[in-house]
Amino acid sequence: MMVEHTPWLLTAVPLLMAAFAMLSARLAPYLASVSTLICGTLLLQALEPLSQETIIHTLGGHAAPLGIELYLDRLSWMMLALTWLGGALCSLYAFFWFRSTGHAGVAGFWPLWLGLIGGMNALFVSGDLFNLYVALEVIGICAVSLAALAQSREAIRAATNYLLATYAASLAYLFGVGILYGLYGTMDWRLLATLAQPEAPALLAAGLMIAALAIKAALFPLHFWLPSAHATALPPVSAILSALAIKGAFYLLARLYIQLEMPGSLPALLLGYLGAAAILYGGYQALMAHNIKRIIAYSTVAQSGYFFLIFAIGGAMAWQGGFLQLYSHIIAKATLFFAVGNLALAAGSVTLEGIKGVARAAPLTLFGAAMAALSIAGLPPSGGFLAKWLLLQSAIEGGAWHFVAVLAIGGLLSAAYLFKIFRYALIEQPEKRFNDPGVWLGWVVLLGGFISLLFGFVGGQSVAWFDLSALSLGGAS
Amino acid sequence: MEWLFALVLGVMTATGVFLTLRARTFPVVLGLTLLAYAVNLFLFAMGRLTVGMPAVIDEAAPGYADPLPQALVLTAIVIAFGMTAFLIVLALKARSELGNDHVDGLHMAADEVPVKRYKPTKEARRQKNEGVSS
Repeated sequence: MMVEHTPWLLTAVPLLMAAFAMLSARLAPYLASVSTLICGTLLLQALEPLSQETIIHTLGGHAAPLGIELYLDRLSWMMLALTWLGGALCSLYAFFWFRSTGHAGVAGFWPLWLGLIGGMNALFVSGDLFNLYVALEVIGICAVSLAALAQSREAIRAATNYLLATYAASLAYLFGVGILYGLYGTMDWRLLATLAQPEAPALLAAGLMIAALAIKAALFPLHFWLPSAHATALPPVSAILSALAIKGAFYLLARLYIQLEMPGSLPALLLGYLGAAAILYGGYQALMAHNIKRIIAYSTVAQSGYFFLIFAIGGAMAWQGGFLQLYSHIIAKATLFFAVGNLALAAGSVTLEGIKGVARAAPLTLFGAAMAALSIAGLPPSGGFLAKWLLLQSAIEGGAWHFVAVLAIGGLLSAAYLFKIFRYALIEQPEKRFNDPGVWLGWVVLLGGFISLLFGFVGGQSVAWFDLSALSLGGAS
Repeated sequence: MEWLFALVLGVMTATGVFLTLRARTFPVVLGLTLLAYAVNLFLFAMGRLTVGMPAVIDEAAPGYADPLPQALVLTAIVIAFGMTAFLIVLALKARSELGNDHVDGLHMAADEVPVKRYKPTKEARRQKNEGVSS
């Protein structure tokens, strides 16, 4: 049977391609497309068996307490599939972007990007706390190197801060893992879920791990590294970092929350309230920024806040909304960063003043960006609308009126800061001359915008998989 | 021995945290390295400190040495080594590009500076006014 090998193949194929991509910069895009095709096939053929059971691969034939097991359940599958989709879009954009600009970073880009995909896939199939640590480190080091590829002063400084933050977070996470191993003698989270007790050392470990993952997921006020790192990176890299790299840490937090069953607990509430603060703070900062890349980067801080709301609101509907928000954010945010990259190419500037009138030079880009902006601002018929609607409805049902207010204000703020970009781009500047960003770059943005609208129509069925009972399939039961 | 070990870990962690909170890259790198040391040793100690015990459970022996943390710590050491090497390279690059080794504060990107500081200086305002009047 092929299917039980899916979990490790999903990690091994991109990593192998990354190794080959290092040898030849010219062949690298083709290796990336081979990896994308193989991973897509693997995911498709795992879909059928998953409707009945969780796919488990025991590495080396040793079962859980002694060996390491890889799990692939519905939640992992959805994360893998969305990473695949977002990754394919980013690869497409990166290919055309590097071709049209001839930037020297291309030699480093493909190996690191394939390594990042391998790390993310490893994270989604791991069921072992130490394996997860290794996956987090692979993601971290690849993401930081990608951020540093821009080579500018600001990018180097932002990447250094990113590395310091992510490395400190990794150490805190590993410390927590050490405590848990000392207490219970296992690192498999299914076993841990049955063994764990609410005792002081275990709570310390959970606190350390939650704080570490909150840094990596850029939860307010631990987001300090994100805006600079995402705003100074190359456009395809910004899209990758914002759309994909931070999602791994959030997924892990959600996993821990589900497996360790901590609904309504103090840390869960704290995460929710910090998420609410992130929505307001990120939205305000995005509104005040005058660099379009920084607007979109702060928008990531704000939009990540929505995921964390599910910890405080709770309930099946909020979970569906939160994960749908995660999925639509992957596509919409990648599209917006593509669009901003195109506008910067066309206008030769990333400030609001500089992009005045750019609509004439990049109509396709602006149209695609508008579709993605609908999703970010939560307007129908996009995936973001459905997600925020579900969150809003569950907040109203739970009588959490303060979250209703936050959701409303957050929606207004995101509509305002996105509108600002379009407002400036549409000011007529008849005498201004622009570069042509190239038709393919525009089409990729259009494709991304189209997919993020499509989520509004198919999103309902895809999250029907995500009632909490389906989630706990991956649990100890 | 356990008390000594715990004490050493405590001192190492405290030093590491202190150094990590400094404002310059070099102490921060040293601090993170010390923290990594402390965490690795802690992970190692979580298999319990034993001397002269077999790694495989043996009926005849009074106990056993847990081999798993030792294997894990080996991986963690390699990762920490790689991260530190990368961190040093990046910090050196930042030092040569920016001309200083401050972790943050100096040399913000132009658009990171708070909006207030964009107010034109007296000199610039005077020049502008003169330009308008002439």
